Amino acid sequence: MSEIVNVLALVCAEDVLAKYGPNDGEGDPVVLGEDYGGLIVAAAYGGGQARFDLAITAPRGTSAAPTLVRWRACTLSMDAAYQCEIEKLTISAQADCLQAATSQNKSFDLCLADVEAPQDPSKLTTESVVDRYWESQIKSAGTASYLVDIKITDHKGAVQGHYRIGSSATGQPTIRIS
Amino acid sequence: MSIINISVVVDANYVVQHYGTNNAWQSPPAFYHENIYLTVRGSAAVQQNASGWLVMQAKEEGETDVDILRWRMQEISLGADSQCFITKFNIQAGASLITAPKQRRLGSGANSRPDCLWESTVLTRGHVQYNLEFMVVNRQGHVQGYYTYDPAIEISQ
Repeated sequence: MSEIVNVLALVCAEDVLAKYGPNDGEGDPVVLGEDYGGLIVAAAYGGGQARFDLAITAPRGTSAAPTLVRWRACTLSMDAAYQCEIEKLTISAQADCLQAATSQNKSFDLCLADVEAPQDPSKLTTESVVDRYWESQIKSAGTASYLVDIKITDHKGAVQGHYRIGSSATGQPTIRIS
Repeated sequence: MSIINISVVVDANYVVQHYGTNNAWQSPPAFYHENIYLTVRGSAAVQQNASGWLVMQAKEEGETDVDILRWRMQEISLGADSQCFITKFNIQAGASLITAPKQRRLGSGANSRPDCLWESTVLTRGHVQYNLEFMVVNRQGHVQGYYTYDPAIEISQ
């Protein structure tokens, strides 16, 4: 069974749009400053929130049971007002610690609590939703640089813009695997 | 009125592994503020954004643009591995500073996921200490446990 390392990118969509404005730059994303997002890593693999340089401690895994890093993104409203989705995750080609990331879309039944009695498990319901994530297999210890390109849409699904988080004047962010 | 979205991200695996499974919905065990992340937009954050101990600024009632606070809890996998729900708010100190948080479910957003949130209005500035009780369910919808957590919000000008 694969070991899964969850990484969640949180993006302040309202602030991004206020500061950088909308754009139609698909394939040419606007680079955001570091105040407009951050990444959270699951506790078992390092935990904490780096601004963008990540350190993950995870087992190497095997071909039969690889260790996979799954990257997701959402806005601070949990995608209610604006939605944020990773359009492209680029791992530096020369990195030997991570395989190239691939996009995955899988449906699953999301549990929902009852509004009146949220603590009551008998009133849980489910709704089919799509889990959109990018996945990369850990190959070895090492450090890779990466780029996360996101797309922000409004609540009607209209694209507001394409942005790149984590990059800065000092260079690309890195992920260190140990 | 302006809305301040407070994102509460929980690592459910960590919570269940470190605090155990339980069915104690009436008296959930206390969960300390490691590996829980309260995040607001950068312009509303004063200190320790994306930590368990958020200090934020908000406009109070009577000002031109009073703030509404909206808490949403999400598991780090966005519900794919497990899910977390806020089940109760208990204001311990500063109850007069914000209205009692109420749960609401708004229409689906662009991604079609229902929007479940707890909402409160800022009445005046000051220190609000509260217990936030939450439930963790696994992917199959089975309850893993109930936990309580005591964050605070410093509402400043």
